[in-house]
Amino acid sequence: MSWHADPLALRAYAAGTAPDSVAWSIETHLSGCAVCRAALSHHLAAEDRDLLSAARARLVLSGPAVSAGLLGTVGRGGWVGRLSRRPWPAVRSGVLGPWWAWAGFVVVSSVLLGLASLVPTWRAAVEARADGLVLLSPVLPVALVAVVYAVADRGPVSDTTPRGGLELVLTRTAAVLALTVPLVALIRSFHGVPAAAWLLPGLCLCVGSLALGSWVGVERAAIAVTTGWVGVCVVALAPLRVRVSMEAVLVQAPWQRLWWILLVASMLVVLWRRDHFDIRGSLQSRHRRMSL
Amino acid sequence: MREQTDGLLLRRIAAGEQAAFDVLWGRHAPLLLLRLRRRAPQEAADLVQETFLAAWRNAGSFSGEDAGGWLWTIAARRLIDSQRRARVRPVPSAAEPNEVFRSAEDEVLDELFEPVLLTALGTLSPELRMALQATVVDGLSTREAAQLLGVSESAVKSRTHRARRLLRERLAHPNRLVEES
Repeated sequence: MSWHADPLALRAYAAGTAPDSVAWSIETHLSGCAVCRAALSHHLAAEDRDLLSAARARLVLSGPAVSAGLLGTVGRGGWVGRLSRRPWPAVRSGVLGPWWAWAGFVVVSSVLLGLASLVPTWRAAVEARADGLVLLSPVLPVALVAVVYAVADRGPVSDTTPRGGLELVLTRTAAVLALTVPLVALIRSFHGVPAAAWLLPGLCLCVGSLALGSWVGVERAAIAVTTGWVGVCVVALAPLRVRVSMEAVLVQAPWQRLWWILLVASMLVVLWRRDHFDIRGSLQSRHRRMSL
Repeated sequence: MREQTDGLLLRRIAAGEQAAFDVLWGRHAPLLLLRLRRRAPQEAADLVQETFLAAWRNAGSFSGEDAGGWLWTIAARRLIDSQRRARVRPVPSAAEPNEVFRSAEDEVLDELFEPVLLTALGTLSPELRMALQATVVDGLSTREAAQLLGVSESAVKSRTHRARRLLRERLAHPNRLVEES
């Protein structure tokens, strides 16, 4: 570019005295002009220089900032990463990830669940084992939250969208629930099991993952909760001498009370730590860790 | 490393090279600090930190040469969030920034840079000027500008429209005072 900002104007801008008309053309031009940006740094006041170097030191000292999600690191070089990689204007969209991931999920899960209920031998096995699908349905939304985070966060979405903190987390979870609840309820009704049986535990596991996610990140938390629940189911179904009836855990009154307590507790935790879903929250906790 | 493009630097940052991060910071932090300070005087330094943390975490997703526009996109969104937070939970702020002291040099500047435009902009009300700045200079969408300024989207649209019309009229007839409707 042949046009460059006037040194006098740059000096006034650095001092904060440039009027809007000057400042606007400087800002617009310097967004894309490395030469003028370099010139501007020479005009920076000494106290601003100190301010910036202190800020940089704090950021760098609190450790490497890279926190690509678990699935993210795995998929980054793989086909998921290639398909969903977009140049940076995609920052504007992508709150819920690419449409094909959703379409694919709906098709695959309907086919799988449909097959499970149609194949006679499998059906018999499932019913004999206290209906494994009922046991897995509470954790389905959580698993899907993990998938959404893995797929949608290929770009700088949750860090860089306005309302990117708790609101984004809740939007995504609500979208997942809106998709999975009717789907699973429909499939459950073919089996004659009331859909309500898994709604409360499902909601509880979901909010619980969000609460846990305020510490370890939503994606990790969702993976952990999914794995944990599947583990519990496997143990409960294993031919041990003491068998816990998982159906009772889902439906019966004393357990329901426990689910309610867990749900309210998780909600309180999410509310209490609402700032920690945001980049600002993670900065603050990094700084706190450093000062300890 | 000094001569490398931002895109290359960001790839090295994604690979975990802190030296590359320092170079990127040196290139872009001063402008971001000054630019954010004109919009949020109290929080500018924090916002610069947040912006660079987001850039650091997402370095792998940048593809391009000059990261100035990308960084500003991130910064503008951090700014929107911080303004919204400030409206929801107001923090008792220090006194309003003092009336900026204008030196003789600044007077020269006024002469140098299109005094007509200067006067025209100066006669716009702060509301109109902010709307124009958010949409035209900062490149925000109507929706984002509405979130930043804490007004409705239709207000942003009508303010931007009115600001443009007033500017056009005042630039065409610098000496006639236009009735601001």
